[in-house]
Amino acid sequence: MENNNYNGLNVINPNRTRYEHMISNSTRQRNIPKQSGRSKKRKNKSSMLKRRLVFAGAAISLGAVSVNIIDAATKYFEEQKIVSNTLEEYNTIVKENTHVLTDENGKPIYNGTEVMFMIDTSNIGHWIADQLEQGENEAAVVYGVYSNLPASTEIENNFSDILDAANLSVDWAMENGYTGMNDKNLKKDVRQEYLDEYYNINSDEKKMGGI
Amino acid sequence: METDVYTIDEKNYLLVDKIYNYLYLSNEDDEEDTLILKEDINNSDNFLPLDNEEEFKNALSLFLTKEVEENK
Repeated sequence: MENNNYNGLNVINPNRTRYEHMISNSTRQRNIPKQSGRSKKRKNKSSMLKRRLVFAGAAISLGAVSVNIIDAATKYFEEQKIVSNTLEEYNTIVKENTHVLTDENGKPIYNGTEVMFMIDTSNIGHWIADQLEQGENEAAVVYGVYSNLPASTEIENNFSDILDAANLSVDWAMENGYTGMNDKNLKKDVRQEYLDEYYNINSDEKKMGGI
Repeated sequence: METDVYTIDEKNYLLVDKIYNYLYLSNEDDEEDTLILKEDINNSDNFLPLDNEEEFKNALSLFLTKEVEENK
């Protein structure tokens, strides 16, 4: 185990062994062709955030940062962790309450450009409302962002309950000093993730008009 | 969002970030499996391992400092 020295205090780091693999993996001598197997993939924000947190967590745990950044880093780390966990939680709720409309052969129905799906807004709305009633539940921070997901078909469906809850959570987040909801790309990314990950739809399949 | 994927030791790693010539990579199938490599400035077709643990910590420090600065 490692001794770190913060503000004159010696701290034995119990997390040291957890990161041994990360260190050896990074310092193992080998030659790696950069171009071999290189490709691009679409990943959602939540997934990438979790991966960033692993690096951030390692930096803090291994004492790889100066003392004056510890406080700021810890605050950031805690806030982002909350957001990440909540995105995952809400994602599950939306998925459970979303159903692709299918024809008599069980194939998804397209409206010309997109697969048609039905979302049980009542269940999702009630779930959000329940969470908000818990008062200090930080999870409310990101409900507003994720509520934009079912709102993609807002015209055809009644999403007023979700949008009301979203507005409440936005107010709550701002009052409590959270800034992560200002990301203008999140709505777009979430919607794309929704189509890509849940229904495995890619652009070629869309053009063909079916899965 | 779209990110680069590299196949290293027969595993796919997502590019989480790049700072200077350091690349922060995360196993596509295991978020806890991460590594940091650097681009070879003398041969841009190669990645190099970090020299030692000190360089590893320096790279981590760069990452966290950037992360905090961008989220202030």
